[in-house]
Amino acid sequence: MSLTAIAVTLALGASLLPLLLLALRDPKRLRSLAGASSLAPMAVGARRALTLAALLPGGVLMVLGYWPAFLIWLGGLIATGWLMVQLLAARRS
Amino acid sequence: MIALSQSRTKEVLAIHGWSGVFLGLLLYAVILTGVIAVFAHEIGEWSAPLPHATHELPQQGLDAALRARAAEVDPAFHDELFFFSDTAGRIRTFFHTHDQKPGESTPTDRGVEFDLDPVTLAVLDRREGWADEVQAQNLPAALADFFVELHVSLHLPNPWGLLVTGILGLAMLVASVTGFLVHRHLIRELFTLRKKKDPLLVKRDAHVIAGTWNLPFAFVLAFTGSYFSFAGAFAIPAVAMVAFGGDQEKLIETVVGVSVPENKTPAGFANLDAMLADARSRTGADAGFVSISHYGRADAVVSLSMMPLEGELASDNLIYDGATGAFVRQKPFLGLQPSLGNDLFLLMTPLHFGHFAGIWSKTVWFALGFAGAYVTLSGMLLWTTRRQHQPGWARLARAAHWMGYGLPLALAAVPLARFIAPGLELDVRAAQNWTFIAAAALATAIALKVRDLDTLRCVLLAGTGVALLLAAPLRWLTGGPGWVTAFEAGLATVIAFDLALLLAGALCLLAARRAKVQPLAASDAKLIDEASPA
Repeated sequence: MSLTAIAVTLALGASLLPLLLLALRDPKRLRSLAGASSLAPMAVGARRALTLAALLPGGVLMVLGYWPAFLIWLGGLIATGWLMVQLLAARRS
Repeated sequence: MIALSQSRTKEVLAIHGWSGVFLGLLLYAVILTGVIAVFAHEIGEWSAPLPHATHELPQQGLDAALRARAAEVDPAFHDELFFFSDTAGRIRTFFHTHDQKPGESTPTDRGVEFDLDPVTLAVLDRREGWADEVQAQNLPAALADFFVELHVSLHLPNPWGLLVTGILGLAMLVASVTGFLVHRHLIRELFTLRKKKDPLLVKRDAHVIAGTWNLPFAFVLAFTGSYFSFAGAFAIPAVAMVAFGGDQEKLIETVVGVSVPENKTPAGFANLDAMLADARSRTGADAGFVSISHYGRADAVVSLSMMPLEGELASDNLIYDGATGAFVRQKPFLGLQPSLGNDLFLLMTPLHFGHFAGIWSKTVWFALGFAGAYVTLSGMLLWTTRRQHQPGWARLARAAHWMGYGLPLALAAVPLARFIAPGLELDVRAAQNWTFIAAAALATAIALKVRDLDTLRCVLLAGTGVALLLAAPLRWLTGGPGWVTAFEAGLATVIAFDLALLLAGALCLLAARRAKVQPLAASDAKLIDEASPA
């Protein structure tokens, strides 16, 4: 496994967990469920902290100068974020 | 955040929709073929596999191959030549000169091209003529070239194809920016997809969500795509016209900075393998592209473009004296000194093509491109469906369905022609083109015949699914390696591509079945209007 592949795997793994937490307890999403979920909306401060946590691995890759890994991480985060929304919606319906 | 009044929001929404609808049909074609072109190398390897899989120049033996091939061709074609590993995994080398083709205003390449086996360096194919004739005879790369050319220029002649795709790239930029302005409030709804609402509202949510997530890359791909189209179609000829009397070769020599004083004195050529080894020791990377000017002359120049090192986006470019083999300099691709312009220029290629980290980056770029195609198609369908009760819009809604689902059918039919044509002794490239046109005509006939748009979508999706399912068996039945042979030869791409096509075909059939079960009639289009921000 190449260095880029390892860096992308670690960074994406570290970003997806906070992203999933953000998605699960997103106030707008929970409101659209109209009480179908028992989860409580997350406070603004916690959401901001999780957003930073999700973006932090990309920042680390930038600082280290791993640009290919950074681009793949960014693209992967976008693609999996989109997929996550679809899956959460499909699960609900 | 930019605040827009209600009337301004309406205007921006109109720009967003109209730019999308009027150029959307072609834009969708460019994006969809771009998604496929990400895997051009893999398509080449899948459609014309060699007994051994490699996409690298060999470390030894190029020198002997160069001398042997140079001795076979007209010395006039020693003027320029190059080596690189092409989309089908062959080492392609083109000995050529710049000549005036009858009926054309600018010089064109003319010479002899060889396909070499990447391991044995044996000659696999020899083609001679003008550059376009040589390209037309290139069978192994035919399928990949079809998709790439459709993406780059829509198979239109130069410069018109590049101008059209450049304008489409700008339209995508406009749609991205205006879409962000109109729907920016929906960034807060990045995780919200209302599945229990009206089907058309769900469609609108899906369009906005995909567009919002994909916005940064849509912008990047549109910008870099426009850059490539306009640079080739307009910028280079325009600058050449103003500053170099129309001589584009002179312009490129000046901007790239490799011109040397002319010296036509015959001279021997230094050992190319030694130069490649020296370049490897200096950079730690292998050469990806070898270019030689004035082979056999005292002013011969060898330019080696190295592959990017692990963890790097850009690569090095080394210049050698061809007659002596002496290292001359390491230089940026543009000019002789490092510059911001060179760095930005180098960024354009990896950002657009996404091939900088092998299958990892290609997979991500494929997913992002797919999202872009989805956003374009869903936007067109929404915009036309909500207006289909107004005069003229019903036809546009039908056209959007025809392009949206008919284009994949026509594209999926092309590999079938690629595999059948050689057995019937037909010209492969012509057969591919005519099959694409025939499949598009069939889709047109179906679109005119089938009145209900849901049924139309269903039929076209099913057709695409069948065509995709046929590709892998047909490849095997027409002499391609089976999975056992491919596995033993290490041709993982062949197996992976077969499986991907079978899966895609099955998904299309499944989607067609679901579309039939859950028709999305447009009778409640006004709900969309109510849900729109304006």
